[in-house]
Amino acid sequence: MSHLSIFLGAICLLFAANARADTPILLAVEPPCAQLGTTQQITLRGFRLDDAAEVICHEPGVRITLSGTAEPWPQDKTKWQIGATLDVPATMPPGNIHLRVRTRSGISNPRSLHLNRLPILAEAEKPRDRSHPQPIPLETTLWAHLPKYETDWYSLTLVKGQRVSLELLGLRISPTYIDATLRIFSPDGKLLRETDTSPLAYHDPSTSFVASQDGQYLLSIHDSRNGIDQDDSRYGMGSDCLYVLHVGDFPQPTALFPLGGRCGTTVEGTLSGDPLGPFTQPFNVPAKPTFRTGPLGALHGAWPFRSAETLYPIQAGPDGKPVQGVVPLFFMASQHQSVAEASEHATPETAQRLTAGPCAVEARIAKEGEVDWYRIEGKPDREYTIEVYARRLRSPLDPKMKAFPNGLEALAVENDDRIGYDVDSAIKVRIKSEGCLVSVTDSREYGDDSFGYRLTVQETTPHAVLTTAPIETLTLLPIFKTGQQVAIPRGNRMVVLLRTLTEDGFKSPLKIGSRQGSRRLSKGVKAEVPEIALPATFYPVVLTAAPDAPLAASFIEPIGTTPDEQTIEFHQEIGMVHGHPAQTAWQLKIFRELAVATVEPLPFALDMACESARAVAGTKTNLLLKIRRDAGWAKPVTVMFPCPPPNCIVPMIEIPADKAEVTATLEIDAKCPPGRWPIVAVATDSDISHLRNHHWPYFSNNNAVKETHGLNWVSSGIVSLDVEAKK
Amino acid sequence: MNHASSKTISRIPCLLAVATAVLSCGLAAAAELHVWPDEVSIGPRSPDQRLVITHIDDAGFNRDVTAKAAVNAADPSLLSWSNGSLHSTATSKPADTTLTASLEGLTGQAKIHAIPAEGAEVSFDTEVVPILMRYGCSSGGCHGASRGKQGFRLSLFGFDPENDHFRLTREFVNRRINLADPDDSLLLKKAANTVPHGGGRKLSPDDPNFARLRQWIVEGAMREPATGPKMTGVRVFPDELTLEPSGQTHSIVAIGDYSDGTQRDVTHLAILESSDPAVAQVDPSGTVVSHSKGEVFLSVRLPAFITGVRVDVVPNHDLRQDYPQPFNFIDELVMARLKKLRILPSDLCDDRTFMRRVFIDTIGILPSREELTAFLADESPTKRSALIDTLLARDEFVDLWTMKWMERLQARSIVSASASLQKATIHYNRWMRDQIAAGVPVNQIFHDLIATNGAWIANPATNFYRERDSRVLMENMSQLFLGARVQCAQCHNHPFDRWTQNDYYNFAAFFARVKQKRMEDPQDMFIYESAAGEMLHPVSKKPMEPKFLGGEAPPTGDRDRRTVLADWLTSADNTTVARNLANIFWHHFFGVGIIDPVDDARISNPPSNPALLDALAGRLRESGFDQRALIRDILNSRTYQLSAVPNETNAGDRRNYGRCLPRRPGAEVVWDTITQVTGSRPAFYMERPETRAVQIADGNVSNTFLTTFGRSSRGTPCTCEVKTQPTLAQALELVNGDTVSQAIERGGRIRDWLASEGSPQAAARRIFQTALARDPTAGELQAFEERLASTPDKPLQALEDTCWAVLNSAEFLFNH
Repeated sequence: MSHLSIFLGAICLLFAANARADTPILLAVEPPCAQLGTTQQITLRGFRLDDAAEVICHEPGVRITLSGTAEPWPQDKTKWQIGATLDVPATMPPGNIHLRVRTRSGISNPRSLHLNRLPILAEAEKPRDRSHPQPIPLETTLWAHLPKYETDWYSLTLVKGQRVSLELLGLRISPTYIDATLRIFSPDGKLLRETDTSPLAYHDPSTSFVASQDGQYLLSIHDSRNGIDQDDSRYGMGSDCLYVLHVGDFPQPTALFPLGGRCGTTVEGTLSGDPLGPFTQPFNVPAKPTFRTGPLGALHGAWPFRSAETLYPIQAGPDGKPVQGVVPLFFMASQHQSVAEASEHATPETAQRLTAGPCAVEARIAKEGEVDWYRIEGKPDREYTIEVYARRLRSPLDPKMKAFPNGLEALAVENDDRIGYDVDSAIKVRIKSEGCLVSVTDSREYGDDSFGYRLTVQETTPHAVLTTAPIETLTLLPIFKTGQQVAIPRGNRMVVLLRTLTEDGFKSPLKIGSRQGSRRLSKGVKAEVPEIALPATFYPVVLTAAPDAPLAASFIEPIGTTPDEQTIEFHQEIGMVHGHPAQTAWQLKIFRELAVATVEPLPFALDMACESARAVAGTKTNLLLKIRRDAGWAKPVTVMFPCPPPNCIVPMIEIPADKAEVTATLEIDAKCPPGRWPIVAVATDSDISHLRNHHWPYFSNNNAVKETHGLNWVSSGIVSLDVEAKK
Repeated sequence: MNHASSKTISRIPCLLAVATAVLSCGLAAAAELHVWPDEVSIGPRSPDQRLVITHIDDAGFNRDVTAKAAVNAADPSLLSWSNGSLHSTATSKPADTTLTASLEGLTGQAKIHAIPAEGAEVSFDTEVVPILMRYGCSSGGCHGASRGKQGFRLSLFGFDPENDHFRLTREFVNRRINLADPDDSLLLKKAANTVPHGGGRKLSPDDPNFARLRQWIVEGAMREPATGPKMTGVRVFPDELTLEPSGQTHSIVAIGDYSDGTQRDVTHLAILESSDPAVAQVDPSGTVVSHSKGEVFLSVRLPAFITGVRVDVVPNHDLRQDYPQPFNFIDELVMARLKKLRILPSDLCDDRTFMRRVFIDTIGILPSREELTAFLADESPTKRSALIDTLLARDEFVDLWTMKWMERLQARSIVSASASLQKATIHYNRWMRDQIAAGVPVNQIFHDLIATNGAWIANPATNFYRERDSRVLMENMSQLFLGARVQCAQCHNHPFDRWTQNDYYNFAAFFARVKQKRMEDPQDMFIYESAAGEMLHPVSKKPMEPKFLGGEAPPTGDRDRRTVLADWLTSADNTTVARNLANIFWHHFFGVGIIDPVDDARISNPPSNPALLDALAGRLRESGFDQRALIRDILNSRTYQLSAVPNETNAGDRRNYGRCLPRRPGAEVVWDTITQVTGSRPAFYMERPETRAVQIADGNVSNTFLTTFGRSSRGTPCTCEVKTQPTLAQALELVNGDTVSQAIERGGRIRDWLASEGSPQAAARRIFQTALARDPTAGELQAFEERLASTPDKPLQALEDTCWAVLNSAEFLFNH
């Protein structure tokens, strides 16, 4: 054997023995913004991007082409960077899009990129200070880094009477935590305005003002935990902080009334808060409610969603001039009959009558201490859900609702903060024939014209949403820290765990499918969907990639269908920025599609020896597991059962490197509901115990990232377990 | 000021030889005779009223002359006098007379009100309950424990008479009280230990209090109606005593005031205790016995009431020494106290000592060599005052006082395991810094903290309301703003202060409507006053009306209760806040508060110099609560500028400011001075490298050194959170730890000085000048030369060793 042959053999063995565990991580996209209707170069940076093959986008319409090959990032050679050409059609709506990188061996987490109408300006060379601000013209979108301890200074030349609107995207676009403060100084050096967190912009600042004099106005931007001025900027965060700043003469209303309307109608909305004064704008409510989205799932109520309703962001200003920023004024489009608030309903005696049909009323707490009263009439002894939408629609109102189902003298049902909806209120009551009195006020007794709300009444009905249970959570990792994508090795299988979140007693089996008209699985990938006749929490869907399936990515939109043809929507909530404290997920983006990619093969596969099994509740049963290893690859494998039947326990199993079979024992509790349950196993060759002792690498810049590999996962096929009741 | 010309103090032995007549030092005063109490009622409820007749000589010393003085009543038919007590005689209608005591040409008088004989039954609330307290029955170690003792439970210190009456009479009928055979009552038999009693014998059957208990049972063991006379206060006479050491005795008498306008002798019902029995003791009958030189407070406690007597035990001789000229009102009041105690103040400190001391105290750093040189070269007599003004205007002053207030306000990022409030903490700190930098009056800062609504981040003063529990809020506020620790009164009447459980919940009611609402930012919270919400009394379960601590119940109407409270607290009429603030400032510059601990103002912990505290508080109020103005007065006083070198008269005194007490600054200042000398600046978490320790905003940011040296954890508003007591861990950290050595090595300043000063000797001198504000002594230079000679080729090592030795010296670590 020649030396060359020996060398090549050794190389092959080396590769075989170190199969890539390469879930790539996309840390940053720069610039983080792009102008609609342009083509520009972007750079993507992250871990394990060296075999990057494609950039995919959750939002259809943009075209991204990788240019060149990945190179180590000069500033930190554990990271890779690769260029790409971004082509954005002018017809795309402004806002954030979400990119993922598919490598040959994995698919990354999503990362935001902001699309807007204004031309892009990059920051000038640093350092800058108050004496040397960077001039920025109006009608510009600027992007910049904000390193630790730094304050950025800019100048605007304005004439008296000119309106200037500024909106900064920090947390909404930065890959790492940023808490930006925006300050404006008048030409005479006085602090004109300081904004840290604008209610409409979530944790980002935005403001709008009219110049009171000609001259050069200064803008400064620093992390809000920095000092008052540059000399005192004592606090700062990570070095990857980015922000995007819109500067222009665009309208920036801060409140909308009404806050909702019926689908298919035209509503005359009053928008207030713009420095040039309030204005009205007719707009057409969509004929069909769309799904609710929002940058902060936690505040929008990550679940449960009422799929019959939607939030509809207003994007156009008066005179047809578009609202430039992405600060949305939310409007709720629903199928509810919507009525206006009565002119006088400040006492129980003058309570406004509402007939639950369902119905909605558009109202506001117009002055401090105001209490609005309603008498809700409905079908006797039916349970109704009375709900106030205020904060979720970005109203400053902090509603507190009281219901008197048994009369004013009887004990009231009160709700201030509904769990999951944070400061909004909701009450479930049974309405008697005389109706139910309901009062709404601000819990702090505040109020003015901007304190709008929408009160909805509808019969309480069970409902649910479908989401994913990321397989990474098996390693005790928090769900929001994962990219929640699925990589299927060629010639192998991987399971997608769909999970139901239910409310109001939803108990119905689901038939899992995908939405008609949605994007499909890529070529060579097939889905195995179990049939479960019982209401279940988990629905495992096994995706199988053919050995010759092309390496490609796709998005699929799973849905569930109940026996009575009710559609259960899918959503996936992913933390986009994590930061202080305790790696809090500051931006929870809700995706409606699941990212799936076919990747290079792995040297092992997992099978269960049988296709079905039977067991009696209260007993144990065994399942034989087999590991298929490629020749020359010998590593231990860890096997887990991510979705055992209810009240069933299967311990984690280690399959040593020298064994190909192992028996898993299912301990089935007597409480396990009888019926046919799908069982699936997953396997990884990664050292889970090692991971458990480290911080999860996603989105973190600590050293553990550099040391930690991604995870390889494969799954078995689905085995049906028939559980019989204990006799 | 010309310090060189200051008068020196003559030798003490010469002074001691001089006669006791009070001459030049101004102690002279006319002798007096007093009858205590000077007004009292006698009647069936208090048939025997003790009086104390005291002679105060011209040196201010008290002598108990009750037995010697001749006593005559203007109307002898109303009373008789024997054995130091007045004895009432029956009268059909109220009558007044005057009692006159005479001795050695002096006379004293008292007004006596004779009360007709009616309602002489034993009162449960005002007699039985105090007796149970006096003999320890209702103490925490006995039946006053939360679960009682041996099945018998009383309220702690008798704070709940209704419950106590139930326990005694009805909890187990006929068990503890036997109305048919009072002598068979378990209450009496246990007290006399005629049946086994875990507490032993508490009362002898021949004790008058035993007789009163028995009489109460004989009369039916009733509890008087709610309309019966209640005790409204207690006074003690005389309330000040000056005694000579070694066995002088003097009586005191406690008088209870009742809601029916009468007074009674309650000495036999009260608990009498000495704060320092080594100085003076008091026996249960009210006889005080002096022992050694010192000051002591004798407390007189009854349920819900406490008062006491200040006793100074001082040698009765005159120092015959001119005391130095006071610089300002502070010195006058301090000197007056020193004179009374026969203590001579130390000399003024020299300029170098003053400069180092005032820098550390006022701005938390050391003077630079340039500043020191310029100050020493200045020959202006007002240069110390000028320096003080300069320091008060510096940013470091703002940093230091921001830290001090934020310590008390518990500004820290983590308040629970699940919440991090770093951003709010930083804004809170910045807000306080802005207030101090802008010279906002301290009472205004307090007002803003209390009467505030809004979000933590947008309105940082609302961080005061991080605590959700109204009771804890009130406790913190009381301790911080009023210097009163009222926590005890949450569960029972305060045993060592006048606060009752009602006082506690009345005061907490001001915060009963404070609510918190979550904000979008999980680091933020919105604070507001709700329209509803009451503070319920834990016993009665009734809502408590808002009532000022020790004050009235104001009409709140629709106003935010906290605004009403803040208005009262910070009004010019409220002297308590001013006294508390004055004490806080004083404590900072002297290491010992006039009330000490500074946040433990209570009747049983009186100020060491009440006149001084009042004057400081008055000055603060006059200045519009300008903390710089008061600090300026303090720093300009001779008292502050006294040397730390003691003389024979003040060496053992720590409460009267006759000399500077060396004190270790807080951990942050120690750290900052070390880094200042060495040039080292290790960064703190989330802080830029040049941040000084006093500038750290977050109480949870620390390091091993700061923690070891007692950096406040900011867990409570207590001043005790800052620890400046030396510990073994501190010594080990300095000597064996790497903080100091690494600071020297990494700071590089010694290396720079070696290069810039021209010689190792000059560099060594620079170390002493920077760290100690003085040149090295000949001995110290000799030691350095010897160290240098041992490694002549390594002068840097010798210098670093010298620096290490200096930084480890007590002279460096202590401000003196």
